[in-house]
Order: sequence, then C-alpha cells, then structure tokens
Amino acid sequence: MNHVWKRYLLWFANEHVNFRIPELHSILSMFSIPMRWIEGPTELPYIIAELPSDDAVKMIASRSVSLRCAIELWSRAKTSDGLHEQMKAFPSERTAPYFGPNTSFRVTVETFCKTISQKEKVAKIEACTMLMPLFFTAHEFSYLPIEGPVSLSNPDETFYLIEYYGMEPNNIPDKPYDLFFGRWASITYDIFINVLRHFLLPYILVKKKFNSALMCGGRRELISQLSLKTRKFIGNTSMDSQLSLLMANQAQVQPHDLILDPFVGTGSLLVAASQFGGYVWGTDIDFLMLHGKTRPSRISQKKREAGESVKANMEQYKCIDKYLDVAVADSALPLWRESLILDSIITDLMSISLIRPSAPYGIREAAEKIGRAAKPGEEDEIYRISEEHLLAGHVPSKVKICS
Amino acid sequence: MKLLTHNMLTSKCLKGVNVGYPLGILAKDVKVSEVDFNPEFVSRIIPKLDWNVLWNAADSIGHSGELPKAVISDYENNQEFLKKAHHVLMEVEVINGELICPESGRKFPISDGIPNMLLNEDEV
Repeated sequence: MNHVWKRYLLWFANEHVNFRIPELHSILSMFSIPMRWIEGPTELPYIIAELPSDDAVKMIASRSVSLRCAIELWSRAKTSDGLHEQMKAFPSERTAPYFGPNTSFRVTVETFCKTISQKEKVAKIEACTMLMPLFFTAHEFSYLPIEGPVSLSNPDETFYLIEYYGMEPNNIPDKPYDLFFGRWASITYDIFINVLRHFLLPYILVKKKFNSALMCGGRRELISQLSLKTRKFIGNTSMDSQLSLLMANQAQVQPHDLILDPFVGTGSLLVAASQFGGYVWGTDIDFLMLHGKTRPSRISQKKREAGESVKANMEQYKCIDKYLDVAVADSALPLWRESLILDSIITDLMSISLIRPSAPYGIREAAEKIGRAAKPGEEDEIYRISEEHLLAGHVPSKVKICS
Repeated sequence: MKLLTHNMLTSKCLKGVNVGYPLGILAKDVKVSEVDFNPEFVSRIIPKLDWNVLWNAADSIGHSGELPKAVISDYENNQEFLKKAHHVLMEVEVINGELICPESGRKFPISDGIPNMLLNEDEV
C-alpha cells in the first residue's frame, strides 16, 4: 500500500526551550520514528514536520513533556484570508473522514502571546462550538462540509484554529503573524482540561473521562503531579520535575530498564525514570541525606519528618514496585559487578566531568570523594584511624574532586 | 537491601580486593513486604543474575524457601518460577545487618535497609 505521510504541527510549551528539540530527537530515536522536517527547529514554539501516521504522533505525545499538542495541519497562512484560501484548496478526500454525519466535533481557538480575557475566550470558544451551524453558515468556515453534531465534552474530532502573535509580550500586533488550522492528532492533558473548564464541567469527571478517552496523551500533567512543592522528601538541590522528566526522556528510559543514578540525593531523577517504567537504583556519598537526616529545605519545616527518604517519594508516586535500592557509596570507587549491564545512568552532578560533561544550570552540590587532605610534612606518613574512633561510629572525611 | 541489589554489589572498592564477590550477609532484621509482580521484568533480570549467589544469599538469611537451586529452562513462560524469583529478588529485604567482604572480611553495615559501602579515609 502506498503510504502517504501527513503534515503535522507540533506545538510546544514555551519553557526550557533548549531541551525541546533534544527531547524530541531522543523520543524519535527511541521509538525509531522517521520524521521529515518541514519548518524548524527554530526558536519559535512550534515545528512543522511530516510523520508516517497519527500513531507515530501519539507515541511522541506519550513521552514528551515539552509537547503541548500535535495537529494534523490542513492550512497555514500569514493572514486569515490566506488561511481560508488554502483550506478551500485542501483536498476534500483528506478531510471527508472527519466531517461525516456520525462524527461529533468541536472547534478550539488557541492564541499564542495574546491574552484574551477568560470571558472573551469562553465567548470565542462558544461562538465556534455551541453555535457551530450558525458559525459555519455565517462565518469564514462556512465552506467546510461538516455534517456531524457538535459535542463539547467528548467530541470524536477537535478542529484547531491557532493564532500566533509573536514572541514579544510587550509588542503584540492586532492581527496574528501566523494562523494554523487542522485537526488534533494528539492533545496534551492540560489544554484539554483548561478548555473543558470553560464549560464548568466538574473537574473530577473531566479528569476521569479524559484519562479513559486518551490512549497516550502528552505528559505535561506529570510536571505538576511530580511537583517538588508536594513531594515528601526534598533537599536543597532536588531537581525540578520538568527537568527530571526531560532527562529521563533523553536517557530513553523504557519499561523494565535498569537505571542508576550514582549521585542520587533525594532521588528526583529516579522518580522521573520510574514514571516511564524504569527500575531504579541510586547511590550517594551522603549518609545523612539517604537516611533523611539532613536539615530540612522547606522554610516552614524545622525538623525532618520520620520516614523521609527516596523510598518514601517512590511510595508517594505509586511507583514503589520500580524501586530497587539506594546505597551509601563513593562513586569515585568501583561498587558494582563488572557483568552488570545497566540500560541508563542518569545523574545530575555539576562541577566535575565524571559522568556528564556539563549540567543544565549553575553549581549545585560540591563534588566529593572519601579522602583526607594531608597536612604539610605528613604526606609520607601512614595514616590510621584509631580503633576507639572507629567503634564510636567514625564518619569518614571527604575531599573535593577537582576537574 | 533487596537480594537483587546484593547480587550486583561488590567490595572491589577496597585496596587489594580484586573480585569482592559475593558479599556475605549477616542479617539482624529481615522484612518481607509485598511488591507488585511484573513477570516481564523478572524474566529480563534473570539472565543478569548469578543464580547460585542468589540462592545462597536467600538461604543464608533463611528465605530460600521454595526457590529452585538452578534456573529452569523456559523460565519466561513459567509464572510459578517467576513468582518465586520475584519474591526472593524484590520482596525479601535486609533491614539491619552487615555485608562482609569475602576476601578481606571488612564489614559494611546495613541500616534502615540502606547498605553503607563507604570506606574510611585511611582505606582509600
């Protein structure tokens, strides 16, 4: 069968922009999805690309935390008139399957970099959805031969009109720079919830319905689900949930993989890796950290609560079955059997090039190993810790690792 | 510490220790808790294990129970076998005790389920 590739608009959240394309590349290579670039990558929040199928898009959306939504692009122009010209010229056999009398639908309007008041937005969406027959006869889209009924809460198809007003919030034009129209191939959870909220549907109901309706939605919901704000055990340098998820994606963590973070800290990366089905080990040189006995990081908290640990975090996020162990160990020395083959090592260590050459931002924890800085004149002496000291629970001294 | 982790740990960090495997276990507290069974993960992990070491470790802490002494053929399709392996690998945990280096006898404490493999500064 001659397989026709379709053109898609992939719309990304305007956050952690530098990780957007690397994340996409990792996901494409992990699932061996071929993709032809049409527009991008640029600094703009979208790319246009050709992909073999909706399923390929859904696979991308099942992992990406950068992706907000993916739309099968039918029309794209610099002006509203141009958009409609293109739409009229678009082959009707491509749209026919979605316009039938038994296919319920909805139209969603999204604007980028132009804030429309909640009321206006509701009005705009209502104008497109509630009054659809009227909209289509009286407005520009009247040429589209849509026969199906309108359904706001659970449509079979959602058509998107996206207006792009540039990247400068202080200089918003009256008319958009770019307009896009198409049908969603995969929508991520948060937009969908926001849209439905306009119609005052009970949140819980929406959530339940949506989870069952969507086989592999985008993963932006994980960012708030795993937020550090509500996490039981965090430290001064716990990794933000979005960055952790991005790292797990770039490590191409897949179900049943064996994952190790040799500088585990409070286990942020283990939490992220386990969300994608990885089984996780962690080691850290800091005994007090792994035992949850360091000073608390939250300003409101004077003492660590009982049971604060990496394991407790895994329990909190219902991925305790993916937790293998954590161990106190110095990653400057060998620990594991040589025959142990891990699927990924994910770690966050700033100031040395031991595992990762560079890090996303700033200097975080000091890089240390067990050792002792010899005082001048005692370099050649053999140093021994006294028995008495060892029995009393000796805490080994650490030295900085220089890169 | 799970026995899966024990199967992978060594004491190679010690000077003069070449293999440092398998570590002996001196268990003071052992806890058995229920962990969701994932047959695919267990079948994937079995080829990575040293089965003798697993059996001996389980036996040394009194939990070899029904665990067969050797891996059976066609274990991927044997749910019974995979469940037994899952139990020993994932559900039996040493909470307090010691790991012992087979070459030097150096002891590494396990407390609250977390092994402490750190050396002292005069050992590195």
